[in-house]
Amino acid sequence: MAKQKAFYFDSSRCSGCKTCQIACKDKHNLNNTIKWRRVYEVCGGDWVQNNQTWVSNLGAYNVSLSCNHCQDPICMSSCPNKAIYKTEDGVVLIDQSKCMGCQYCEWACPYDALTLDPEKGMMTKCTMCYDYLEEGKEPACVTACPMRVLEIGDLDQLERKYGKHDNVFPLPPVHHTKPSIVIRKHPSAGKSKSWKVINQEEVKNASH
Amino acid sequence: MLHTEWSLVFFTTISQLAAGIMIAVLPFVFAKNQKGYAQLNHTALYFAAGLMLVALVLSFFHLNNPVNAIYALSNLESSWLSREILFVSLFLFCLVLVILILYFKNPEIKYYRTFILVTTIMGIILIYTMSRLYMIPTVPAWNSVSTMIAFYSTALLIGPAFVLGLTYHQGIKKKIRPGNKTNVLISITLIAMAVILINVLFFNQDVTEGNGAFEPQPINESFMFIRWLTMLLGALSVFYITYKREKLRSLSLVFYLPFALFLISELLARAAFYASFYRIGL
Repeated sequence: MAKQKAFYFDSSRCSGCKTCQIACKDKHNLNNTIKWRRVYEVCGGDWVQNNQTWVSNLGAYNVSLSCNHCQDPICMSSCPNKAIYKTEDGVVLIDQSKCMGCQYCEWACPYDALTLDPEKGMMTKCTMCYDYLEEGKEPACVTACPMRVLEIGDLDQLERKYGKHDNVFPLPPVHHTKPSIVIRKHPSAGKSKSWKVINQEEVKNASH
Repeated sequence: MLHTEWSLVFFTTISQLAAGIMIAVLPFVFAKNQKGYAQLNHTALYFAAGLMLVALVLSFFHLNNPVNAIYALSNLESSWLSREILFVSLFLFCLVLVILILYFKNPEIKYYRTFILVTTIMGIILIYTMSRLYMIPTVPAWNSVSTMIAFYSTALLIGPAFVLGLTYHQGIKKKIRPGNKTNVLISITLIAMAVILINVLFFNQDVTEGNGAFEPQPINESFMFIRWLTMLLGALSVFYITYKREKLRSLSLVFYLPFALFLISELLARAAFYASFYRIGL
């Protein structure tokens, strides 16, 4: 298996403070319409009747997501200009000297990871802070997390350490793009099917 | 989630109109007796080429950095957008070549009718690539054969409706009785309408599929009411201009009424198509 860098995220301990999101914007000097990392606030569930008693399966959890640097990135295969490529470490990057800002990658990515920079007229996305990685440092979001729920590493090592990725709402089925991420889900995540992202206005991509 | 992309609404509809005109003009191009058809063929071909030029210009309005469009053919092996851009270029190139032949040489149709057929095939392949590029596995609202049916039926509705208007218009001016080829055009138009109805009723994707975090936009009902009303009026006007052709001699622009109504209807449908964008996941 080729080397593949990946994020680990522990949803069971995330407090939703969004320091990761702010650290990312700060590091990459992103304007206020662009977020490469977003924290999705999920809640749902209901009171359900069990014979003569009512039981709560109400719950809430957070999911901090950026680009998952997929093993089979649909953005890369969609891009007509071959402006999206994978590095030897498996990091998915955009060659901005080739991007024409058609936003086709943005339509296709089920993680909403690509965002148009309206000033440059080009797509932008999480770079996994590859400049930091080259210096042996961790990405800004990982370093900033006060709850220590984000980690960076090789995908196979993270899977050995934490087990296989738990696909939680609102993530799409993994077969589409094979995301390079390992998530430990929140205990309430498996209880209900009626989950909703409640901070939609905050996390929706401004270029939509 | 997706703002209606007006440049793409017009780009896709107009290029499908150009391809539809090429398909509709074939019975006239390949007719054994060409008497009275030369002017019709020329006008239709000029229109198709002009429309594709307009479509190409409109497509650039969608790009946020058009300078890098020079790289747009780099990913033919996996990007349907690259393939679409290739066939936009080939279709337009063939159309321009046809126009140049007409303008500078104007030979008898039998010497270049095969080339017109090749050009039409380019247009047909263009619609195929165009529909495939929207059939994205992560966008359930678009990822079905319904998209392809919708795109081809747009071409087969508005293209023949335009050529029908042109046939009646030029037929009146030159006092030529429209032959049975107009029946072919009317039949294609009505079949395309039936296909559009069947497509909407039976082939539309269930937008609740998947695990989406965001709700799809609700369909604007008054918008869709106008879409279906214009289509119904377009169908009625086909019969009206056919049966009242002689009486409409002094109002010859009325012959383009079905085309205009169908065009409005299809532009509204295309806008609704873009508004229906809904992706699995986030």
